[in-house]
Amino acid sequence: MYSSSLEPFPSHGLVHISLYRNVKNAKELRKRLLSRDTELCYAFIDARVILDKFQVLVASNIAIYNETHNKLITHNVHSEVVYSLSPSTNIRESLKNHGLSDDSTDVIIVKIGDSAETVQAHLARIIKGEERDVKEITSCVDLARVKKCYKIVDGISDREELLKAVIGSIAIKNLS
Amino acid sequence: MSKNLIKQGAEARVYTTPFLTRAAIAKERFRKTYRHPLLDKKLTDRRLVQEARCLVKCRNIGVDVPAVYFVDLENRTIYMEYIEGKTVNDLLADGAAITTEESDELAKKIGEALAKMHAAEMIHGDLTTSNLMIRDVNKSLAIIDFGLSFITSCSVEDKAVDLYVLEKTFLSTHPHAHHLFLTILKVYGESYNNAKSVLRKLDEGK
Amino acid sequence: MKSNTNVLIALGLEGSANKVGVGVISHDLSTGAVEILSNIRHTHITPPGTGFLPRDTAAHHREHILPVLTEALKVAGIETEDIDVICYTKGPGMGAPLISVAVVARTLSLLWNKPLVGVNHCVGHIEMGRQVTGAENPVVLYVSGGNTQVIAYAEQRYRIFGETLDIAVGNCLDRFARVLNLPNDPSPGYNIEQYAKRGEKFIELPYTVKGMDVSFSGILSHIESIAPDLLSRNECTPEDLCFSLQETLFAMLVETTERAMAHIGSKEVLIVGGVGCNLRLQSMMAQMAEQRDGKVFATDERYCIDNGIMIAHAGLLAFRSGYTTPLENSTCTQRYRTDEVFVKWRE
Repeated sequence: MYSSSLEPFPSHGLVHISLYRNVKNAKELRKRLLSRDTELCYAFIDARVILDKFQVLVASNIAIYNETHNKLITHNVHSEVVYSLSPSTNIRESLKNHGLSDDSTDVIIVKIGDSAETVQAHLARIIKGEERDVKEITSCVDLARVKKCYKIVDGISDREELLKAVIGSIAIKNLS
Repeated sequence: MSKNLIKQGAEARVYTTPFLTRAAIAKERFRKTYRHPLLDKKLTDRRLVQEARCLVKCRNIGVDVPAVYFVDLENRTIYMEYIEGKTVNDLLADGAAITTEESDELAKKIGEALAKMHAAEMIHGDLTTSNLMIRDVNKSLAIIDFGLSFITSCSVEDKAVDLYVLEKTFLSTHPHAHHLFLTILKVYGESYNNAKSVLRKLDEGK
Repeated sequence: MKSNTNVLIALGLEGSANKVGVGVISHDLSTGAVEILSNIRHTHITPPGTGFLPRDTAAHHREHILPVLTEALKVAGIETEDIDVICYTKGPGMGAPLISVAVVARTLSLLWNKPLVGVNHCVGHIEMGRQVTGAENPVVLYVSGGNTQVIAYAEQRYRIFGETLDIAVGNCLDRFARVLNLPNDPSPGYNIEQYAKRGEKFIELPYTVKGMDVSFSGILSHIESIAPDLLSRNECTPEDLCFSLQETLFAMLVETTERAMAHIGSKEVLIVGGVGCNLRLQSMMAQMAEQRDGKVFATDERYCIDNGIMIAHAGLLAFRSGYTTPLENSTCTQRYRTDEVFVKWRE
């Protein structure tokens, strides 16, 4: 698991990023999320649309910024992380494309706040899968899915260039 | 946050800063106290958004620019990619240290990039050799500082002025590299459909 | 009267807009001293809600120029033989008014057998501003009813760095004053300034700066269209509108001036032209300059507002550098760009 504080919000606490592969209970988790189960205070992200940990950090940063300035568009900071990953301002579409799907097997979990130990332990209890090093995030990606999701029509093959295009579209999403 | 001030202009302070595991630039626009606070906020927001949008658009049309990471309107700051490289200003300052081949290569990159920008109706607004960089890693040309950039409505005049600013830099700071500028114009002319009217306007202005 | 032959005296006649002015100035070539011997002016004021038209303005100038001239000579205490050169405004400005004054200049030149010098109105403002304030090499903001330019001197020309893409800022203010039916006495701009002081609510208006240039027709048409509605619904007062208009217009001017300063590395700003009298503009410019360790220079209404003395001064500078205007070239021109003048008298 990766844990760090974000430079723009030094006193806000830590952001934890965890990767689980071969997840078997995505459907169950999704159902619990939809019913607003308060035990699931996390952002669950389908790893297929994530190129790099940096992408997750950028979205988390935006979510914390929105919360800090009372500009949350979704219900809470965790759903805001998922929403912020999307280039679309449509909440439903964003959560659908970037959040958990019933068939998600590689899942990235983000927790804002709390301690690494608590989070790690809790995730191990609720997720039926294998926790992996976040370095593996780059192996879970489905490039075609990313390009479709972020509407990248150009034949960008370079991963770094693709990442920059994705980050850029996230960064300017909610600017008037 | 360990910030280091690297530049201070009329509009903003530029810092290097770590940002979410990457080396970044934080560009913080000043509050202008002579303006009414409501006007200042409106203008600063507008300019920040414009700069961020232009940077993202450039990337979409194949012009290399710093990647935008985060726009903090409340603190009037844009966080963007820190580019490791040298400015064209620095490269040319060496005087004779650049071969004809290198010079042509450089001119080609600049001409093509400007052609793409203008074809997308984008005006940089401050094209000097200090705002053109060559990346260390792959020698690609990156254009920086879009603080004065805007999208024009097909104005030949705006594009000519954009080129004129660059020409003035060459004339005043790199007079020995004038042939480089001429090659830039040649490549621009070959790469951009409507270049002819722009180049004519540029000529007229003299 | 003129005992010292190392002193040159110039008579200046101005009438490019609604003010007709005559001034007498002396330059002492041995000491370098410049003395203002007289500066007389008369303004054509129209009823509230109206602007001044070329034909009526020219008629006004024809009616008042001889009394103004007589007064100027009397106050200066000189004889016609003391005058070394007659200077007049060649342009830019309104055609008929310009000509009505030029005719007098030509006639005097023939009558008294004195050389003529045609002067660029903007250069007149700049040179008088430099003289009165002592500013060395400032960025000049020239703002009036007919002109809006950001100017800096380089290689014997007053180069225009930025200007209005459509109407002048003074014109914008004057036309809005008409919408509010403010009196034109002493000037519409002055009355807007007084109203603005009492304004509190800031109303958002279009702000248009493109590079170093500005555009005012958009903000004018916008405020003209929203004003009647806002006022009738009591959503704001005329004072609020004047306040908001000034804050926005002046911010645009200060921004372009700041850009010019940053571009050429200057620390001085000189504000000239009728709108330069506005204390709010001066104060905003000062705030900007202070943040850059710079300084603002401005003149008072004697020299801000169109006058004859600035024409005499600029004309005499040109005359001293060997310039005269032959009679056959002593025309007027409505469009006369500041950078067309060869400023031979400076390095």
